[in-house]
Amino acid sequence: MTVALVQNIARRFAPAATQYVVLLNNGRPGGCRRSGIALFTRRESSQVIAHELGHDLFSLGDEYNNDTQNNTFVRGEPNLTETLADWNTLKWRDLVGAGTMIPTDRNTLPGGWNNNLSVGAFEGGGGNFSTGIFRPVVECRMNQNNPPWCPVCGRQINTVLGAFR
Amino acid sequence: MKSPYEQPRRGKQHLRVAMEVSHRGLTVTALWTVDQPVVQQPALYKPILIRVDIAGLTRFVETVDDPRDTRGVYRPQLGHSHGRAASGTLYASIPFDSPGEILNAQVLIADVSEAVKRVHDPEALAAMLDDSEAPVQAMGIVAAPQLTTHRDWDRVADVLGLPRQVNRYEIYRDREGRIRWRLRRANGEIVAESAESYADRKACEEDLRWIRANAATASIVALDISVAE
Repeated sequence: MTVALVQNIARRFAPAATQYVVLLNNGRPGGCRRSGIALFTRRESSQVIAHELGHDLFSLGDEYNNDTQNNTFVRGEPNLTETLADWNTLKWRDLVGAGTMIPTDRNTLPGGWNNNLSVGAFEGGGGNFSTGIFRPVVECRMNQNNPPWCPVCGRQINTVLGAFR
Repeated sequence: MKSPYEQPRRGKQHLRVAMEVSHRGLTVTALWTVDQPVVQQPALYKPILIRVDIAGLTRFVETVDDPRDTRGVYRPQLGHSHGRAASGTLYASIPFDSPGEILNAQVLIADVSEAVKRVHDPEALAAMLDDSEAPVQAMGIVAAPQLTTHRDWDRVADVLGLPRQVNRYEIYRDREGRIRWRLRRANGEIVAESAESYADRKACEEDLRWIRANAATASIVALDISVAE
């Protein structure tokens, strides 16, 4: 019923929209997404909403991992990669600073490293994978919600939105 | 020369087609026009593939999440929770430069969740729908017959300057919640309707099939003319 209601309103007022965000006047935490509609209660923070929209609007993948699985898939998300035979073909290679080792060891970072802005290739991500998958930074909105998006995610956002300029 | 898949904008406008996906298959639920092009993404990796062909040539390819999948919000240390609904709404975009192209459009929808674990190239994924050996599962095809017989078609046709629907039978639910049929001319006028309501849609459809098969050859008997003695 909620989905049909939202779709009717959306078609009337925003026929060109492809994603819809619904804020529920409810004080409990929670939210979900289905059929292009993301629903959140007013208890949810804007950072959580931004993380979810990272998936829906910009095709970004989760950069966290809460399990110990090994990824064996080719990753299509712009902010994730599988293990590469040639790290020079890394999707975000051009954003990696000079002198940064790839893959990047979190325990031996160069001086002045910024966990949100300095780009490397850190193992773990995709929600469930601790190995066989790499993410660009230590901290990003697609990992811990609260940090801003990293340069790789930011570039993807600019690319998607750029098509509408 | 650039591959057509490297040229992001498709069409001047597009027709948005909403479809309900369930175990019964795909049903078109709404149509409307959008006054802007669609954007071809260079990499596709979501589980449902939508390929739009116009006059036999692939015009646009996209992948989307399965609309039946529900994802709960992200919680630190917990991640997302996931669920599965019985049905969901899928949206396809049919790009066009001239409105008449819609009448030659075909939208192919398939589950490619196995394929996208290895391949994200739009051209390669699009070709998989023609390969019987590829790891894809067809979900349905939407083309002109499904579009032009939908209740929203007349409004779309008026906006785009296309022909409205032809004469049609409509099955609908009355205020009591029972099923009825009516015959509507292309100009919108109702010229016949069911004399009684039906408890279920199947009985109504059976009567309509009988009418369509027999009405054209039924004789005309004037019951209101009295015979002169």
